[in-house]
Amino acid sequence: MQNKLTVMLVEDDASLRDWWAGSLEEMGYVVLLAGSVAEGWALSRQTVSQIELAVLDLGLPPTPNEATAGLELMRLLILDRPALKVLVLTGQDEPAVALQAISLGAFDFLNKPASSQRLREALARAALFLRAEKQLNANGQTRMTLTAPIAEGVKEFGEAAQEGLVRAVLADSQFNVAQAARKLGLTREHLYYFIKKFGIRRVTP
Amino acid sequence: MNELYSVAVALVTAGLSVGTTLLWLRYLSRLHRQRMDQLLALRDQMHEDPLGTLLRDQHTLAQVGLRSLDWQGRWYGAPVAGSLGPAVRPAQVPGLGPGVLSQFFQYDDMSLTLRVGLKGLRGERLLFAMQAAEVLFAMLQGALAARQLALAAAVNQRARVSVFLQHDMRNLAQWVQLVAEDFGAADTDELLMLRARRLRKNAALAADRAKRMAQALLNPAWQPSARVQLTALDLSAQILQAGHLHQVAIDIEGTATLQWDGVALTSVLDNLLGNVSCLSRERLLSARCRVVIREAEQTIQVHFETPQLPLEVPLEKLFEPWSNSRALHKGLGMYQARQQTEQAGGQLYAEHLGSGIRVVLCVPCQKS
Repeated sequence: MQNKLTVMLVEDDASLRDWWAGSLEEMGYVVLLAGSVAEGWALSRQTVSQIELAVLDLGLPPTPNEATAGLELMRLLILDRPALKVLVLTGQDEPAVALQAISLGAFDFLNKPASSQRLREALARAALFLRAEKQLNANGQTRMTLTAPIAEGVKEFGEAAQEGLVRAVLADSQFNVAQAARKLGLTREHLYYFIKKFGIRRVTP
Repeated sequence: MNELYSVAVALVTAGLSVGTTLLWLRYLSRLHRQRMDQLLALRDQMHEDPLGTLLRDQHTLAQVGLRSLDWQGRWYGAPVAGSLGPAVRPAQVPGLGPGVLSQFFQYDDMSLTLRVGLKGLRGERLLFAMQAAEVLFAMLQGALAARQLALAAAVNQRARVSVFLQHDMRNLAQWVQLVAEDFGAADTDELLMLRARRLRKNAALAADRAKRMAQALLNPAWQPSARVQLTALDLSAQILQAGHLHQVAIDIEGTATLQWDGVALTSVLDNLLGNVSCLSRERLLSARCRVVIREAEQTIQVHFETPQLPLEVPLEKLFEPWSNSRALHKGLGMYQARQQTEQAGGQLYAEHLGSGIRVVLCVPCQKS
């Protein structure tokens, strides 16, 4: 592995979390651990450095038998870090849960019990996409995945794309508005307009 | 004179007849009451074993005129039939038609038709038996309904344990698979030792989970949510974080660090602020909540105030299950939040404030 990538692992089962963490470290990742939505969110807020990958268990307290808490955390994490690749690891078999996770922007969906090899491959694939996207960024391009209702038409889709782009560039520039505006070819005032329009708030660590 | 004498004799005879009849009626009334009490005394037994009570207490039933009974149907999925005394055969009974009273009982996986034959009964005995039959039907209905409720509660309890086990079993399966794979792939002594050290470090956590699962499997009364684990909690930080998660602006006054059940606090904050967020969005209002943390002698009170946000259910129904939704798994949040709070020794209640409410959480613990 060229540079060690940072993986956030959110799993409520302490023994499993501990074992996963050891396996991921052996695979060469820097691992950050959380056991609940609150811990995961706090970790994301407190970590100034890059978190490139997340392995997220959907069944988290206070409702470990439902996917609600995990999906909410995923939504927040992706909003906060648009480039983050989230691998969902869950005991919830329902297709509706997979659909919801994918619509929120999950990169991959693994059912428990998943083999170590399967996770290794999924992480390697996510890392590959991550590096390719970084390369695109360096070339002044970006790659986005959008989920938007088709029936609401082209305008709504365009707005979703605008919001995604602004969020991604701002996150990439550590919320440096001048730098982000330069990257986007906008004036700072124009970028502030978009920030206000989409309700983008800086998350201070 | 003779006529006067005849009238006097007739009056005395009539008086005696009325007196005797009154005495007889009084006797019958006492007898009726006594036997009805005996019938009612079967109620507790009937709750335990409805059909068994009918068979065991034939004598009591016969005394109230219920000599001829039969029943048939399905009893929790299996066919059931039984009878007492002479066969119940429809026969013309004056004033009653075919002379059979029957009642049909129906619950989820149980249906039963109970018939009472009144052939051969007349006069007050017939009336008494008819009344007793109605009482028996009512008692049986009550007993079956109570059994059904208890059954539903037991099934619910099993389901809770079962769902908990499913979650933990999956995690256990995942853990076993990973450990097995990692050890299987350790092709050098160095790697093997590295993983053995990891396993030793992990052993206490794995043992803790195994203990929890064994408790759930072996103790039928075990409840996953009943475990209270006290942790040090920064109250204002938790509230602000929950507000952030639900996109509710929190205006907070006061702070406290306390030892309490983190799961209960998360449940209260999650449900309360989740509801504030949803209701505000539905009504196109900005999602805000004023929070006041107050310290009393041995409690810490947290007031969550949303005077601007009208309630969607009456205040007294706020903590009632399914008060705002009949959908499965919906409308239970506030009910469960209060249950968890009480299990952890706290209190959760609500009062009117402006056009909205103030929800008060009382945590009976000292500052850590």
